[in-house]
Amino acid sequence: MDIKTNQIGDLLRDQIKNIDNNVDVNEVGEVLEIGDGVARTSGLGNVMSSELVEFPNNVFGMALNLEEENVGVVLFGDSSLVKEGDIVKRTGKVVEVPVGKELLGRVVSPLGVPMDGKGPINAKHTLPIERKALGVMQRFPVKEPLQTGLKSIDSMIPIGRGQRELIIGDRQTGKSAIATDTIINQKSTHDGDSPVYCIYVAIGQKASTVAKLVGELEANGAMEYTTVVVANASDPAPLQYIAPYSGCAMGEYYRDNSMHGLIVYDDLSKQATAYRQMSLVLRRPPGREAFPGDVFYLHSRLLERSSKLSEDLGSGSLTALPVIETQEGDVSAYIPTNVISITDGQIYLDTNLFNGGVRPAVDVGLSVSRVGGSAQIKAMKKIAGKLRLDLAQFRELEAFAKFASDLDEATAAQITRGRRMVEILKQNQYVPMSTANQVVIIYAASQGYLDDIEIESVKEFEVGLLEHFASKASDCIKEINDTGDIGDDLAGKMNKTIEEFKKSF
Amino acid sequence: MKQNHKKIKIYSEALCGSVNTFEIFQDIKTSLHALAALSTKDLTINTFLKSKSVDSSQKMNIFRESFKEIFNESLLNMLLVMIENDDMNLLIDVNKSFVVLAKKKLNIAYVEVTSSSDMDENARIQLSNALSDITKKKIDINFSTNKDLIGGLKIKIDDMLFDSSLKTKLENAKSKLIGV
Repeated sequence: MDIKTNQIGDLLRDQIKNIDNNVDVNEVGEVLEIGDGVARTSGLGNVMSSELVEFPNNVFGMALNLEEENVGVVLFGDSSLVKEGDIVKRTGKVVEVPVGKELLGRVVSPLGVPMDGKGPINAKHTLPIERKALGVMQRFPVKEPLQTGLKSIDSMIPIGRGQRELIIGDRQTGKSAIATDTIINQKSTHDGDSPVYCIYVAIGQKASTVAKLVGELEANGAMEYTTVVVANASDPAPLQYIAPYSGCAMGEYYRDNSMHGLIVYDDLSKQATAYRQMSLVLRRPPGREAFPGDVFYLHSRLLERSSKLSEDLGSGSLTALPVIETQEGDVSAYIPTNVISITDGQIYLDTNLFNGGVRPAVDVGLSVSRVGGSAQIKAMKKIAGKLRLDLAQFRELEAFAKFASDLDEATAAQITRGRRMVEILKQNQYVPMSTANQVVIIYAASQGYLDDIEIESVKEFEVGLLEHFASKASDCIKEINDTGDIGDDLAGKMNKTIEEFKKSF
Repeated sequence: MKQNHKKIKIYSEALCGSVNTFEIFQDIKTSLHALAALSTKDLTINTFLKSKSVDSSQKMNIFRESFKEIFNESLLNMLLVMIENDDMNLLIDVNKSFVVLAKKKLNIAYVEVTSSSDMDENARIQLSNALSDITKKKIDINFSTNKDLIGGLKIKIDDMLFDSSLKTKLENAKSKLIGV
C-alpha cells in the first residue's frame, strides 16, 4: 500500500488544530467501595438519579441510590478496572441511546454501541432510556391488526397495533419462536404503506442463541427492518436491567414519528432477576421472593410506554410482546402474575401440547387477547368467531371420549371436526402465513370440508388447497385482501373452489 | 448502625462548636488525623484503646498526660469523653464528619493540587493565594506530584476537578481522532 506521509501529516495537523485547548471541568466524587458491579461513591452532590457517570478506564455507570452520605452507582463495564479511591466524574446527562432508522439491521448493546462489527452508527437522534408513558388523551383505542402470521394466534388471540400481549410458558415451549415468526411476518407490511419496524431485545440469553436468531432473521430477510438489542447472560446485571428500556426508547422513535413499531422483550423474567441482584447489592430491602418492592413498577413503567397514539400525534404505534418464562407451568408466581395484570392479554404455551406435537403449543383455554375482535379483519372475525369455543369444547369432549367407547353421532362429529381443526392450526417455524391464506384454510375447516379427510392427509390437503387457490382462484385471495371481508358471493365462490379441489385430491 | 450515626453527629458537632478560626481547624484536623491513623496502624495503641482489662479512667489519665501539651483543649476533652463512653472505634468517622461540618462553618475549600513535577515554594504560595481569591474561601491545600500527568496541573476544589494536564488533553485528542 502506498502511504502518503504528507497527506497523513496534514490530516493529523488539521485534527490537532481543532482539539480544544480548554481546561476540563467536572464535578467529581471518589469511589469508597466497589464490588459485585456496584460502587459506593462520596461527593457527586448534584448528581441526578439515572445519570451516567464516568470511571477511569472508560468504565461507565448509572447513579441509582442517592443517599445522604454517598451515591450508589451500578457499573456497565468491568468492575475490576475500578478501584477504591478512584475519581468518578459526572457527565450531566441521563443514560440515552441512539434512535432512528440508522439502527435497522444492526445488533447493539443496551447503550447503543454496535456489536456486529459493521462500523459506527451515525444516528441523528438520541432519546433517554427512561421516559414517562403517555397519558390517556394522547392515546387511541387499539384497532389495527398486527398479523403474526400464525393461524392459531391471528384467528383466536388477535393482536392489535399498540397492544401489549404477553407470551408466557415454560422453557422450551416455543416462546421465542412465536416472537421471531411475528417479526419475520412483518416483512409483508413493508410492501404496503404502513410498515412495522421491529426491535428484538435479548436479555440474559446465551450469545450463541442470539447469534443463531440473528442468522435466522437475516436468512429470512427480516434484519432489514429489525434492530437487535443484546444484553447477554455474561453481561453485568445493570446492562440486563436497562436493555428493555433502551429497546423501548428505540421503538418510541417510530411511534412518535407516525410509524409503527413492534418490540419483543425476551425475556422479562431474566430482567427481573438482574434487577433483584442489583437491588440486593445496593442494599435495598428485599420483599416477596427477594425481589425489591418496586418490581411491579419495573415492568409497568416499561410496558405502559407501548401505545397507539391519537390522530393529533400522528397515529403511530408501538406494540409490545413481552416474554415470561414460568417454572413448571406456575402462572401464579410473583413476576408472571405481575406481568399478566399489566398486559392486554397473554398467549400461554403448554409443555404437554408442545411435546404432543401441537406447535405453536398455544393453550386456547388460558390464552386471551383483551383487545378482542376489534383488532381483526372482518373475514377472520366471521370465520374464527366460534373457533375458540369449538376448540375448548373439543378438548373437553376428547378427554371424556377416552373413557367411553360408544359416542353419539353429534359428539363424534364434534371430535372429528376438532381433530382436524387442531391439525390445521399446527404450523412450522419460520413459515408465517398471509392473512388471506389463513382465512381460506380456516374457512374450509370450519365449513366441514376437511371432516372426511384423513388426519394424516390434512397438511397435504392444506398445501394443495392453498396452491389451488393461488393458481385457480387468485381473485378470491385478492378480494379478501382488498375488502377484508367474506360476502355471500365470495363465500359461494370459495365453496365452489374448495369442492373443485376436493374432487381432484 | 443508626446509633453510631447519632453518636458521630454529636461528637463532630461538639468539636465543630469549639472551632472559630482556620488555624484551630487546621490544628484539630491534623491532630485528629494523626491519632486516627495511629489507632489503625499501630497495633499497641489499637490494643490499648480496645482493651477491656484497662480501666477507662486509667486510659483517660494516660491520654491526658500524653496529649495535654500538644492537643487542643476541646479536642482532648472530647477524646476523654469518647474513651469514657468506649467510642474510640468511631474516631475515623468523627474526623470525617468534623471536617465536613467545620469546612461549612468556616467557609473553607479543600484543594488538592497534582502536578507532574515538584512545585517550588513560591509557586505554591502564589497558586494558593490565587485560588483563595477566585473561590473567595479559605484554602486548605495539599500538593502532590504524579509524573503520569506529563505536564500541566490537576486542581480539585472540593467536588470540582479542573484538569489541564497534558495526559487528559492527549486522551481527549485520541478520542476525537478515533471518533469515539
